[in-house]
Amino acid sequence: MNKGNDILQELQSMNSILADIPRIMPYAVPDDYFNRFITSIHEQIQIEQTPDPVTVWSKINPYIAPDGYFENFADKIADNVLTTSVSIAHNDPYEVPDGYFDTLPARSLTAAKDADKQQPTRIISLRRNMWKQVRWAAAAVLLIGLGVGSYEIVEISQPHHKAERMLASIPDKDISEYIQQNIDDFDLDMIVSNTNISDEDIAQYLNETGVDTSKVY
Amino acid sequence: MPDALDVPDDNLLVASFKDEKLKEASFTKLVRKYQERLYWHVRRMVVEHEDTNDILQNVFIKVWKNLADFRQESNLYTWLYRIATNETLTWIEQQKRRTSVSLSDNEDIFSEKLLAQKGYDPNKIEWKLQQAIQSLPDKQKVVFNLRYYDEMPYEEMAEMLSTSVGALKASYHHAVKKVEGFLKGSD
Repeated sequence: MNKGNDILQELQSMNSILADIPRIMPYAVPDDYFNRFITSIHEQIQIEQTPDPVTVWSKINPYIAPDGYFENFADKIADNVLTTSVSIAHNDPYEVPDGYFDTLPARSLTAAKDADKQQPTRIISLRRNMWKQVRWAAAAVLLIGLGVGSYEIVEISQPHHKAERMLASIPDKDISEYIQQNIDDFDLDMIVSNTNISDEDIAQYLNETGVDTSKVY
Repeated sequence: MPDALDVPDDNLLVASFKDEKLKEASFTKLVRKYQERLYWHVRRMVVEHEDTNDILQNVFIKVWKNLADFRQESNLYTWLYRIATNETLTWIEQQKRRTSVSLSDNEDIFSEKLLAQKGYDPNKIEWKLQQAIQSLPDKQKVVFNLRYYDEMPYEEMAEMLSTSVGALKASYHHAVKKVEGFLKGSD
């Protein structure tokens, strides 16, 4: 680098007041710092170059397993599993008849053969059957829809209430017979006592409907 | 500073560093040659000696690790200044993140450190000048210091900072004006 007057000349050409200021660094530096600096750098580099302790640690396992421990390890585990399974089966609270499982395969086979003889296996085409059912279901849905729609239209066009129409369609004779058969004296008394109908009106009604008034009074 | 006659040639230093037998000796010579220049380059930026020492050690450790690959396409001292500048700016960024301060508050951190320096005297022009320099943005501070104190030619500075000579001249000019303004305002 050029340690001449270039900078000063440059600053003077800029008419800068910095040209008149001494370039003294006021910061203090510890005694002998620069002489000792190289030593600290070498120490740092040595630290940097020292291998990571983890990579030089021995990976030998100090623990010892019993001789032949791993040779039969799998068999031991299998034995333990079987023993555990058996003990779990013995703990089952339900009882099975003696020799049940011994004869079960033979009995199952016999039962299966008998079933074959009695009723040959019928193979049903799922696809064909399914489409048949779908067609019927579609027809049913269509009919229900038409029925409900028609009913609603008819219902809306009728001026009378459904119950009223039903009552109107019952013959008077049937009503009279029903009353004679089902209403007892107690009911008649209760109806009379709880309405404002006069005795005369009742008598007239009974006469018109053909009821024997001697049974009432 | 070592005597000029004892100053080893940079090319020779680099060549001998690549020889395993001469590596440590050449490195020691290199450190001795550049330690003070790089020290002050860093210290003018971060103010405190301890911080400067930490950064400088990192700089020379990087030099140790990478000097063997240095191809001498640029000057050795330009390469060293580049490493020192990058390490310093990285350290400043880390400090900013650690203290969670904005860029505008950056000057306050170093101004406070300046006030705590041994021998600080607000009436002395050299301390006022350091305060003025601390008021500059980081990269402008680098340019001002390299030009004003280290007298680095713009061409070498451009190579070191990967920017143009024109941009550096403009940056230095602005920095000088800011420093002047600070000094005039503090009178």
